[in-house]
Amino acid sequence: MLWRYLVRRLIVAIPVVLGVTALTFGLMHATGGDYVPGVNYDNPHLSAQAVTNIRREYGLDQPWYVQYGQWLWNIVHLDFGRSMIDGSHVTDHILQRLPNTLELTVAAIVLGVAISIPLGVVSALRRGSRLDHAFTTVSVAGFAIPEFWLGLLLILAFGVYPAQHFGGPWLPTGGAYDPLSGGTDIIDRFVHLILPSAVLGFAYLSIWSRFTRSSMLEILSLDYVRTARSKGMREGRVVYLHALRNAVIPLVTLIGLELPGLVSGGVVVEVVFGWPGIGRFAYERALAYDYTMVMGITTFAAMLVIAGNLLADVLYAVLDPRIRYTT
Amino acid sequence: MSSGEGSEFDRFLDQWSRRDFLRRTGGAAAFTLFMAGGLEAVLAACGGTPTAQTAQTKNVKKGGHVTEATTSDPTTFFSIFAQDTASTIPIGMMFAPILDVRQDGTPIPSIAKAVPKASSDGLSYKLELRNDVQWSDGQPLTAEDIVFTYALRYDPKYADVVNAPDAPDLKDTIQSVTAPDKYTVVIKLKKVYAPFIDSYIAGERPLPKHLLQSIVDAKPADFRKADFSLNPTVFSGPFTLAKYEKSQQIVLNANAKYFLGRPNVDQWVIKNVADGIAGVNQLKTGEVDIAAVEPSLWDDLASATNVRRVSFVAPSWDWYGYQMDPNNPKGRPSGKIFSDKTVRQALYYALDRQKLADRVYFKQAVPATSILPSTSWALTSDLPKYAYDPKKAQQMLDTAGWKLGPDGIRVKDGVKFSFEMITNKGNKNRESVLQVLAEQWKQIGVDAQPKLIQFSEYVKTRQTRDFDMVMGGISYGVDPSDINSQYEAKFIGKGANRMGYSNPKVDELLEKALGITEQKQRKDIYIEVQKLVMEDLPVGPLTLPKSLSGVSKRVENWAVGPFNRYASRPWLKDVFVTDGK
Repeated sequence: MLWRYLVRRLIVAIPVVLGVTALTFGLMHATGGDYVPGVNYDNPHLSAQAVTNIRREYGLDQPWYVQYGQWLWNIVHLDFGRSMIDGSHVTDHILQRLPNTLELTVAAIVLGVAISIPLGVVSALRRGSRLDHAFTTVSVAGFAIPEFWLGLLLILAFGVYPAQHFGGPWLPTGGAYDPLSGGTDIIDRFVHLILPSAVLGFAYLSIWSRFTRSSMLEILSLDYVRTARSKGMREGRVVYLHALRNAVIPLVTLIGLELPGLVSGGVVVEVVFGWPGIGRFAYERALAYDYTMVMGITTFAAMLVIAGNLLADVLYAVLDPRIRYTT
Repeated sequence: MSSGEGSEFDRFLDQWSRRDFLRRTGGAAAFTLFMAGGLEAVLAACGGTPTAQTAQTKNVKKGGHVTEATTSDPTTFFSIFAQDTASTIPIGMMFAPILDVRQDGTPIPSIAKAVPKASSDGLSYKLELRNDVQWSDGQPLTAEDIVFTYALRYDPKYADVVNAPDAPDLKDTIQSVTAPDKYTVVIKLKKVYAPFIDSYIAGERPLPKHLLQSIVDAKPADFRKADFSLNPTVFSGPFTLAKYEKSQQIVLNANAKYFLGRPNVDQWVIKNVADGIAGVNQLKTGEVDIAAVEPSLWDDLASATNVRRVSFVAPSWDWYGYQMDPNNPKGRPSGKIFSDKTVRQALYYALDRQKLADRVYFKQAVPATSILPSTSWALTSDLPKYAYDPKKAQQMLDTAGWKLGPDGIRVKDGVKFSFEMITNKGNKNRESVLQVLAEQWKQIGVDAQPKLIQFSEYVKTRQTRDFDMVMGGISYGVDPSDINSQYEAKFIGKGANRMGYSNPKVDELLEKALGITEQKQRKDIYIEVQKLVMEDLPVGPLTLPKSLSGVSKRVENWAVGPFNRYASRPWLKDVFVTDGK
C-alpha cells in the first residue's frame, strides 16, 4: 500500500515541479529583460559586439520558448547547466553549500524540539502559573523578534563587546569554521554553529512550544489519561509516555512544514552570520540575475519540499497507527 | 528584511559597477589624498615607492596570516575575463603583471624591466622582460606567455570565440604581438592609442601558455569555463592558491618562488562575510583584519580599539544626466525642457552638493567639481564653479520663461516643470541622493519625482534612453579618455551617453586626444573638453564618495591608495602582522 501511495504522490509532484520552473523562468525573464548577467555595463570600453557575443554564448539571443525548452531538455538528462556568472556547474554549487545549510537547520530544529517540548509540557502541567506566563512571554518574543535583529544583538553581546573589553570574542560571529582549519575540527565547527543555530532555533522554539502546550492541555483532559491516572499509574509515566506521544503527533506535521527550510535555511540568519549556505547563495544569485543558477536552485528546492511533505506524511503514520494510506 | 536587502544589493552593484580600473592608469601624479583621523600608516603621496618607505621604518616580522573581508565570491581567476573586484583582488595576488601601478596610478616595472616608451610614430612598444620570473611549477615565464595572453583577445582566431570583454577593443587596436626572443615582446598597433600602456600593458597579467594553449585550442568557446578558471594550478604572483571554498573563503599561501621576494606573511585569507555590517563587526572581534566600511558605520568604527580607519577619495563619482535630446526616441517632453542650457545650469546652481555629501555619505564624500574625478591628472580648477545659489537659479529659470504657477511649480507655455528621476532600486545611497535632489529643487519650484527601477531596467536606459533624468555612479581609471563614451555623440544609445549629448567640438577634441601620446598636449585638450562640457552641463557631477576601510592594528605596511586598491597591490609582499599570528 505504502509503495503505491508513494508512487502516486511522486507522479502528482511532476506538474508541481514543472509549474515552479515555468513560474521562475517567467519571472526571471520578465524582470531581467535584455540584461546579460556578468557584463559590467559601466565599463566605458564595453562594446556592443562583446555583449552580443556573450548573449549568443549563453543562448540569450534565442526566443524564450527555445531557451525554456532547452533548459527542460537538459534537466530531463539531469544536467542543471552552468552558472552564467562564473561558468561552474550548478549542481556543484548546490552540493557544496547544501551540507552547510543542513548542518545549520538540523541543529536549529533539534535545538528547537529539544527545548520546546519540555517547555510546552511544563507550561501545560502548570497552566496559569508564573512559570507558564514566563514561558509564554519567551515564546511570544521568539515569534515577534526579527531574526536579523536578534542575530546582530548576539553578535554584539558574544563577539564585539567581549572583543573590545575582555581581549577577545567569546564566540565566533561569522562563517561555518575557522578559515585556516579546513573545517575538520569538530569543536571549531561546533562553536561556530552556536550563535546562528540559537537564533534560528529560537524562532522554531516559540511556535513549537506553544503548540505542544495547547496540544498537551487537550490530551490531558481526555478520558484515557484519567483512566491511566485512576489505575494508579505514576504521573510521570502518564504524562511522558501516554499523553506526550499523542500530543506530539500534530507537531510532526508542523516540523514537516519546516522541512523546506532545510534548503532555504534561514536566508536572514545565513546572511547575518556569513553562513555559507544555500539560502544566502540563492538570494545573491537572484539579485545578480544568474538565470541558470536560480532555476537550478528553485527546481531543487521544489523537489525537496515535496520530499519533505512526503516524509512528514509517512512519519505521521508511524506515530499514529490509526492513519492508513489509501490510493 | 528590508535593510538587509538594501545592503545586499548595494554590495552587488558596488562590485559590478566599480570595475577594477587599476589596469588602466597613467601619467604623472596629480591627485588628492584625503586621510581620516586615526590613520598611522603612511600613505605615501606621489613619487617614490610607498612600500620601500614604510618597510624601512618598521620592524618587520615574518609569518602569520592576514584575513581580508569580501562580500561576494569571485566569478573567475582568469585575468582576461575578470571585471569584479571579488575576482580581481585574488587574481592580483596570484598572477604578476607586466607592469604594476603605484597608488597615484603611475606604471612601475614588474615582469617588464622598465616602463616602455612608444616608438616615435606612436605605433609600437617594446617590452624587455626579466629573465628570473617563473611559474610556481618551475617553468620560466617568458615572452611566449605574453604573446599567448594578448592573442586570446586580438587574434581573430581566438578573439571572437574566447570572447573576453575587451577583445573587441583590442582587435581594433592591436596589429601584432610578437616575441623576437625569449625575453622581448614587441606590440604593434593599428593606430596611435594614447592610453595603451595604462589600459593594456599595466595590470596585464600573463597566463601560462604551457598549460592553457592546448585547452583553448581544443574548444576556444569553452575556455571561459575551463577548470583553470576557478581552480588554477600555477602562479606567478606573491601568493598561490591553497583552496577556494565557495561562499566561505579563498586561502592563499606565500609563493616562495615569487621573483620580487617571498611575502612576509605565510597565508592570506579572503573571507566572504556576506555583508558590510558583518564585515565591520568582524573587524571589531578580530575575525577579519581588513574590511570595507559603509559610510554610515564610519563614525562608529572610531571607537574600536583594535582597528585603524583608512580613507581617501576614490576615482569614482555620483552624477545625474539630463534627457537633453528634444528628439529622443521615446518622445519624452523632458527632452525639450532640458535641451535649454540655461535650465540645466539653473538646476545645478540650486544644488547644495556639500550638503549632499554630508547627508547621504555621512560627510565621507567631497563635492565634485568637474566631469573628471579629483584623482585625475587632467583635472583643472579653471572651470565654471556653480557654487550653491538658489536665488540665481530662480532668476535663470524666470528668464528662461519658467514662471511660478499657483501651486508653487513653475510653468512655461502650459507645460509644468515636472519630471521623473530614475535610479536603480536597492542602492540606498543613490535612493537618498534622489530624495535630496527632489527636496532642493522643490525649493526653486521644480517638481522632481524619484522613481526606483530594477537594475536590469536601469542598465537598459543606455539603449532605450527612456527617462527624464537618470542618476548613477561611475568609476574612472587614471586616463581621462574614460570619459569618451559618456560625452561623444557617437556613443549616444550605445555607450554611457544616455543624455543624447552632442557637441561636435567636444567630439573632435576627445578623438584628437586619443591619437597623441604626449601627456602635456593631452592635458591641454582635456582641460578644453572640461570647460566645454561643464558649460554645456549635460550631466550634473555630484559627489566623490571616499573609499573607506578598517585595518586591524596588527597589520602593517597596508599601503592602499586610489589606484592600487584591488588587483594592483605592489606593496602586498611587504605587509606583515605584528603578532606573527
